[in-house]
Parts: sequence; structure tokens; C-alpha cells
Amino acid sequence: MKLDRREFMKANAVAAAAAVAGICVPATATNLITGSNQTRLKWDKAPCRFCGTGCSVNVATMDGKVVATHGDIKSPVNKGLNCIKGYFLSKIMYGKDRLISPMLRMKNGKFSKDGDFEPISWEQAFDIMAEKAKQTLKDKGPTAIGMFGSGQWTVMEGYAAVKLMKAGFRSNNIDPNARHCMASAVGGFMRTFGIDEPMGCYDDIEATDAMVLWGSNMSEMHPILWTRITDRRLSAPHVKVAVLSTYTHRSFDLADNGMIFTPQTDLAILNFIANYIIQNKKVNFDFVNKHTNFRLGNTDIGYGLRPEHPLEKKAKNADKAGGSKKINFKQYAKFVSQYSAESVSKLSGVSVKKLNELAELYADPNKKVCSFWTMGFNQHTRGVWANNLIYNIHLLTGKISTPGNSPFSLTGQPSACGTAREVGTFSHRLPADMVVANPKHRKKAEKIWGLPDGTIPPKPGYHAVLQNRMLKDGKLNFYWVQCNNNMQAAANIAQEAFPGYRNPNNFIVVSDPYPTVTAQAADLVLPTAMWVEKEGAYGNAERRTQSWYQMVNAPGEARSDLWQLVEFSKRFTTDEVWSKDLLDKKPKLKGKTLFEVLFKDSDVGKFPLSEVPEERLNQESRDFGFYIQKGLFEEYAQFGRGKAHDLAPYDRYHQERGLRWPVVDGKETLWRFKEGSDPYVKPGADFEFYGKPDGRAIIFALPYEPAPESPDEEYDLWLSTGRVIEHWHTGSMTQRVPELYKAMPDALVYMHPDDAKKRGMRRGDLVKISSRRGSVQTRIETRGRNQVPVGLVFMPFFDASRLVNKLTLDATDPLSKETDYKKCAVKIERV
Amino acid sequence: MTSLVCQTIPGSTKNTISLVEKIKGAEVHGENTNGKIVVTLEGDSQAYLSESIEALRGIEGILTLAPVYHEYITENHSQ
Amino acid sequence: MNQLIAKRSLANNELLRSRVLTRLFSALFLFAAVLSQMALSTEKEIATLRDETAIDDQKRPAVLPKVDNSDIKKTRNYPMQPPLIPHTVRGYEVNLKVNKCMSCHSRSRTEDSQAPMVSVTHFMDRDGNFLAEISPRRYFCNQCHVTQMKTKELVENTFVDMHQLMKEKQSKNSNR
Repeated sequence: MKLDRREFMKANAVAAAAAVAGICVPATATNLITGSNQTRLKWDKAPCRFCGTGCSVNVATMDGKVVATHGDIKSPVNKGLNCIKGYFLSKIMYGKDRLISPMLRMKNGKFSKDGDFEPISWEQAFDIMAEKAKQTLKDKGPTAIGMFGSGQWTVMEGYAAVKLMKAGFRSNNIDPNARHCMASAVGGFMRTFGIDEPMGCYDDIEATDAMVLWGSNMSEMHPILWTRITDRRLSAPHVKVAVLSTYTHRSFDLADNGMIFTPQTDLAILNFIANYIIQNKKVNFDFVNKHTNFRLGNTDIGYGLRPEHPLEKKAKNADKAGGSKKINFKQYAKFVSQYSAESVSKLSGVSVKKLNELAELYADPNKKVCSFWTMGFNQHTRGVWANNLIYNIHLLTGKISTPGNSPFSLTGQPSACGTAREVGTFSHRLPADMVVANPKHRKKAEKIWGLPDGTIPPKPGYHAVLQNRMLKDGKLNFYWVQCNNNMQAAANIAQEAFPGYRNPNNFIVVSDPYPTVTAQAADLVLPTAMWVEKEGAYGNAERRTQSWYQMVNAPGEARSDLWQLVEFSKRFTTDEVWSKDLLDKKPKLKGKTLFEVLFKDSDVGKFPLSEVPEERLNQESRDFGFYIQKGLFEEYAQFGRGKAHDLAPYDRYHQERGLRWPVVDGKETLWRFKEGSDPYVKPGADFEFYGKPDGRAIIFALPYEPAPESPDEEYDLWLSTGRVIEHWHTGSMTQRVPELYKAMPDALVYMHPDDAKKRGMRRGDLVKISSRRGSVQTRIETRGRNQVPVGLVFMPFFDASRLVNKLTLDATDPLSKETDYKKCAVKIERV
Repeated sequence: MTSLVCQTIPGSTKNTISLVEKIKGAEVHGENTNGKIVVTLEGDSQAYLSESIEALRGIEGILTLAPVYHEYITENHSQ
Repeated sequence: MNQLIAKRSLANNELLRSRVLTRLFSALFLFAAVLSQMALSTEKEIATLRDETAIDDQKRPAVLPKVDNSDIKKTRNYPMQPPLIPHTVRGYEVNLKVNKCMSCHSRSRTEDSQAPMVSVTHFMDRDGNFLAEISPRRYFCNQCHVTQMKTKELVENTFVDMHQLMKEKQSKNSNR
């Protein structure tokens, strides 16, 4: 049978439409192409691999390969659309340099820190890992063992990792790369509401009258949400869009009010809006009196630098950063009264007119408002404050938890919410918003896990930035990195991360599908299965949990992070990792392997292989002999059920395009804290912020404080870093898709033409950018999608060949420990 | 070339299909019990395709039209 | 080592096909590894996208590539892929006031411009209704459509077009 392009295309067109409509097309009608066995495309659903929006995609496979992907028309998130990255998902797994066997640095057939990478078997890989881990445990104890994970791990992988680290190895030194991304948002939620994650959902977009972007370039970083915002703005002309940033970017194309402010002064603008609301008598006192408290937060809290840094020594409250005391509305009003339009305009560079226009959007009682923010707020040395301050505005006006009124913290990664936050893969957390420092929380976890009291250590472990410092200082010696590329993404890599990884006392394991910069810095590299090469679940920014099946096998010996974690646990018996005292409390655990105790014999092992649908691949379950993803999910779900984090039964997620938790009586929750839409709110309460013991959210009085480093005579420019639409984070997947690579091949430095001229430079010139920490070379871009103001430059971090994070400062928010990637001082010279 | 999912008035699906098939270049490839049908349209020009879509919209039995897929090809007869 | 990885990736397809082959190949790799080790004493770098450059070093950045302005359509990898833009879009404004792309690609302008009309899928709103003009959700063309720079990819991609897969199978069948 001859297949010409046209017939083939028609068959595809039919297949695509049939998939959408859920129609079974008879083979005869499709010209044999989709009907016959040899040419059949198998369509399945999966969440997109990239950002936190959580689009659903349809994935077509044929002969064990992904051959096509497109936006899932049944998904309420994206309704058939994808962004340019999403449309190219089909190709991310097929970079020619996929890793297909473990590789170890060796000399003369043996591990050597300064050896070259050579392929070894999994058996050999686990041998050397177990040897190094056991040696470390013996010499230094559990605090010298650490793991750096990801908001791109599946929910099950994150959960297995937490269990293995916190219970198995009894080390809290596990942190996700979400620390770089969402930690300040988490801090903001916990501090204001006492419970994590947004109260609203994406449906707010279609219900609102005004949308304000704070330090978020949604057009490039959340493109599909941007299509919804664009749709709303253009189809309802009364809707207004305001965009705030430190430079002009694509999101300004839709802005009715675009504002460029001096870095760090967002804190002052936020306080000005609160002041405007109070001065213009627009406070919703009915709401404020019933549902809020006021507190004054500690100030002068430092910048999360090494303790010997002069700025830390100078900071008055570096050790009490989270402290606050109760105040009343009057005191709060007085506190914000110093932030007048005139003074804030002078500080921020935004005109009084624009500031007033912005404030009026929030103040007008007849306007519903959504605020969206991402890294501009979160990657901020006062990131938790910025989050607290935006909630203040929504709480003062009561514009919260109802359709269209929504302070909405967007997530960067596909499962920053699902895995990093809900599972609690942070160094201080446990699942369902619990923390290791709380004895009741530890006890609950130990009970669900069937482990002796006192298994989980109470002291929070090393967070992301501290891990790199401790590697460098030789206090963290066995380190496993999964599902991220921190040698490219961490701040100040030249001074902290790189010397840390190459410290001869340390053994570094990196799991990745590709040979990344981080893999290059490692001692052992493990080839890893990705995305639809495994079964998993992700949780997006609107609390939507979505699952997918394994659709193809990974190449060569590549295995999922989950398989690697669980397989590694077979190498340890309880006697090797736990003290005698601990084991005496549960003698029946003696002599067992961590695999048995943590996985097979716990609730994780409860679901037999027969529950895996027969036609599904599921490499891990078929290897371990039980339905491990379901077991992990269901055991994990025990933490949140009945605690306002309820998840549906696992199997249901395979039927749905995701469900937004809490899922109570089979129904998802769209708006939390509001009676009628949230089943956890007590009848008659109207609103209830039940994360706090008295059901009241907190309005915080917090000031503007300067950034730790700002331009001076020598380093005379602000440097902001960030992402681009074509590439996912460090580009390890998207730089390997030729179409995406060619759309945006290199990270250039965006510079104002006047700044270039002043230095005798022009577009395309080769330059060296230097900070106090390192330098990097690139070329100048003076036009294009970003227009930076005089005095500021922007360079994205996707380019592995030009590591912009050699320049960035590893200062963090002292509360959230999240790095500020948006502000440091640099100079630029011609090469 | 374009493909669409059409929601027909249940009960009148059969009749609607015959009307659709009267449009030159239109083919119906499948239906389900809820009255959804899959249609492809082929034509030599964009203008013709838009006309066909207009014609589809004009058919009484069709409630909604959801275009799913659309591509232009230049016919290559050497293949 | 880079070469080694490339070689092993080349063998990917075969590897998938047979475990026997896998063993054979890994033996080969080990052999190659021993050879490379004998030949080279300096540390080898593996990060493909850094082109064998050490982390504390940097390769000289290449000159800015030019945009492909050939106006020649590229074959799509699969039917649902948005077409790439085969011309420069420098200075194209798409904002609240104007959409430069639509001045050629909208239905009413294609006769004059001879540019392809935007796909009919673009006329559907979120709820699946068919609109007279393109849906506002599709307004910003650059969210799905990108230009291509005239540069060579860093890493080859082994994605196979389904048409290719089917052709291979058909020729196999007809040979039987």
C-alpha cells in the first residue's frame, strides 16, 4: 500500500480529531493508516515536563518511541494549547548524547577523584556508592550525607527520597532545587496563612477585572496562563493589566500600565498601596476585623550569607529573623503612612500617576483583582516579606478566596507544589506542611511509616545554599544530586559549588538523562529515565495533581530516579544505619534491609503487580514485584487526608486531567478558606484561614530594606538573571531540540544602547562581565525582546557554555533561604 | 487539509452526515453515540477551505465546530 | 570521552533491540575506554553543551548568528507542530494596539500577501466555539512560533518522524 504525504496527513488529522472527540474510528475509514496494527499511533495523556502551569499533553507513541505530542483539548488548564517548548516535547528525550550506562571517574580500573569517566555496570555503581556512603556514616555520621532533589521529581520519587533520607539514613540534609524557586512563596504562605499553596485557582483569570504581574514575565515563563490572561484582557475590554518589573519584557505588550522600578523597591511600592487603601478609606473593615490580625515583623535580619560576612555580623536580628509582635490596625496604618506616593516614586523611579493608577486597581471595591508573581518576588533577599506584603493588600480589601480575587503565587517547576512542597522534600519539612522540628509531626510520620519513635532527627538539615557551603567546608561528604543541574543553576558556583563538588573529601553522585555541567563536576554519573519513560504524578501551581503512565522504555541502561533510590536502599541493613537503642524499640526490624523496611514491607508494598494494567510497561514495578508508584502515592496520601490536603484515590488520577486538592467526597476544591467552596471552612464562618489556630490571617508591618549588594563605582551595573520561553531552565533538555536551540542558541547580555555606547561597545561585541565572585564572557544584545533600563543588564541562565551563575551572589532571604538571582553588581568590559 | 470535531444534534446525526458529505472535499470518518462526528476538509486553496467551513457552519444539524488540525502541503508528485 | 559517548549513543537503536548486542557493545566500550585512557592523561570533560570545556574555564563565544530569512517552509516533525517562521520578525510589533503578523497571515490578507493563512484551529475559543476572527488566546504568535538562527545544532537529535517509521515497516513488509 502506498502512503503519500497527503493521505498520511489526512489520517493524522482524523486520528487527532478522533482522539479529541473520544471517537473510535473504524479502520476502513482511515485508509488503513491508524487502523492497521503496523501503523497505529497509541495516544495517551501526560502533564507537560516543563513549567508549573501544568498543561496536559497528548502523547503519541509508535514502536516504543514518542512520535508526536500536542495540547490536550480535554485539559481545563490549556484546552488544547501548548507553548513552543510544549509543542516540542516529543524531541526532548532524543538528544544523541543520552546517557545509557553509569559512569565513574577512574584511574587504573579503580575510582579516582581525578580520573576520567568510564562506563561501569549498575552493580559496580551501587557498590561504590554504598561503600562511600557507609564509610561516611561511620566516620562522620548521618549529617555528612546529603541529597539535592527537585521540583521536577515525580511525587513518588520525592516521597521515596524523603523517606530514604530522613528515616533510612536519618539525615535531614535533603533539599529540592525548589529552594531556589519557591521557598519564599512557601515562607509567605506559612507566615500569613499557616498553610501552604494558593487559595485560588486558574479559573480566577476568567472571572477577574484586573491582573497585576509582580516580577513575573508570564508571557515567556507561563505562556499558557498568559494565553488565558490575553484571552481575558482582549475579550473583556474593561479588564486592565498592570505589569511591574525591573526591565521591559514581552508581558509589557499586553500592559495597560507598565512600570519599571529600581531593583528592591517593590517592597516600598507594596507598602504604598496599603497606605493608599487606608488613606482613601477603602479598607474592608468588615473583613479585616473578622478575619485578620496585625503583627510587626523583626527588621534588619541580614542576608543569609556566611556568618563571618560583615553584613551578617552587622545585622541586628540575623538570628531572630522570623520574630514578630502583635500590633493593632492604628499602629499598622501609622507604619505604612511613611510610604507616600511621592516618596515611593522617588525611591522606585515609577511616576506618581502610575503608582496611583496601580493602587486604585486594588482599592476600588468594585474591581476584582488577581496578583501574579514568580521569581521577581521569590528570588529576593526579602522574598518572604514581599509575599507577606502582597497578601496584606488583598486582606485589607477582602479581595481573596473568591472567584476573580486572587493573590496567586505561580510556581516555576512542574511539581514544585506537588513534590517539593506537598511531599515536603525540604530540609526542614515532612509531608503535608509538617516540620521535623515539631515532635508531634515527627511522631505522626514515624507512625505512618511504622518506624520506632525518634527515627527522624529533629534538627533541620542543610538547605540548598548551605549544602554547597558544607561541601566546600568538607562537612558534607556523600552527596547525591537527582533531577537538576545545580552546577549551572546555583548562585556563586565559582566560589562555592565547584570547589565543593571537587573537594577530594567528597563523593558526588549525579543522576541525569544527559551529561550536564553538574554531571561533569560529579564522580559518579547515573543514566536516568525521564518523563514518559516512567510512571509518575506532578502537582501544578493551582493544587492540581496529575498522573501519567510509562509509555516508552528508556534507552540503554537508563533507569528512573525512583528505581535508583529504591534499588540503592537494598544495599543497607537497619543495623548499618540505625543505633542499637533505636532498633531495640522495634526489634523485628533488626537485620532487615532499608528496602524491606521502607518500601516492600511498609504500606508502599501493599499493592500487587496485578493492579498495574497489563498493557502498561512500568519498569520499576515489574522489577520490584509490586505496584510501587501506587503504594508510594497511597502511603503519602495518608499524611494529608482529613488535614485539608486530601488527595483522591490514586487510580482516579489516571482517569482525570488532574484534580485540585483538597479532594473531599470525590470533589476538588477551587477556592480555599471560603465557606461554600471549601468544605474545611466551618459553617457560618464566611471566611476561615484555618491554617492559623484562631482562623485569622496575618497582616504584617514590614519595611523596605536595601539589597545586600548594589552598583557602585567599580561594579556599576545591576545584573538580573532569568529564563526565556524557548528553554527550560538550564537547557539540558531544550538545547538538545534543534528547533528550540536555533530559536535561541546563546545567552546574550541585554544592555541599554546608551550603556553600550558609553563603554564604546555595540551589539554583537564580545564582552567580559565580572562581579566580585567571577567572570563570564558573552556578546551584547541591545535590541530584541527585553529592553533594559540604563544601569541594568539581563542575562539568562540556560546556556551551559556561559555560566552566568559564576557572577551571582549567594545571598538568601534569611527566612526562606532562597537566593536572590535578580540583583547583584557587575561591570562589563570589552574582551 | 483540516480536521474538525462537530457536535450534531443527537438524533439528526445520520441526516447531518449526509449533508456534510455533499460538500466537495468533505469526508466523515467516525461518529459516537453522543452525536459527535469527525470531519476532514480538503481543498486546493485556503479560500476554498474557509468557504467549506462556512458551509459546514450553515448546516442546521451542527451545533458546534471544533477545528483540531490544519496543515497546508505543497503536493509533491515526484514522491 | 565525548567521542565515546557519541559512539555509544550512535549504537542506541541497536542497543534497544537486543540484550546480546548490549553486552557486545559494552565490551567494546570498555575496550575503547582502556584505549582512550592509555592515550590521554588530562582530565576529560563530558558536558556536551560545553564542548569539552572545563567548568572553571570558558570557550570563546561565537559571533551572533543571523536569522534565517529564506522564506522556505520546513517540514514539520509531526502534524501538530506549529510551523517555524522562515523569515525575520525584527521590529514586528504585537501588542494591545497592533499585530504585525496578522497583517499578512490573517484570512482577509492572504490574497495580497500570499502568506499562509493562520490555521483554522486558531479560530476556536477556550470553550470550543468557532469565532469569526482568531481567538484572543492565540493573539501572541511568538508563544508558539519562532524564527531560526543560521547556526548548527550543538547536539544531534535522533527523533524519528512517524512517516519514516511507517515507511520502514512497509518496505520491510513488502520485502517479505
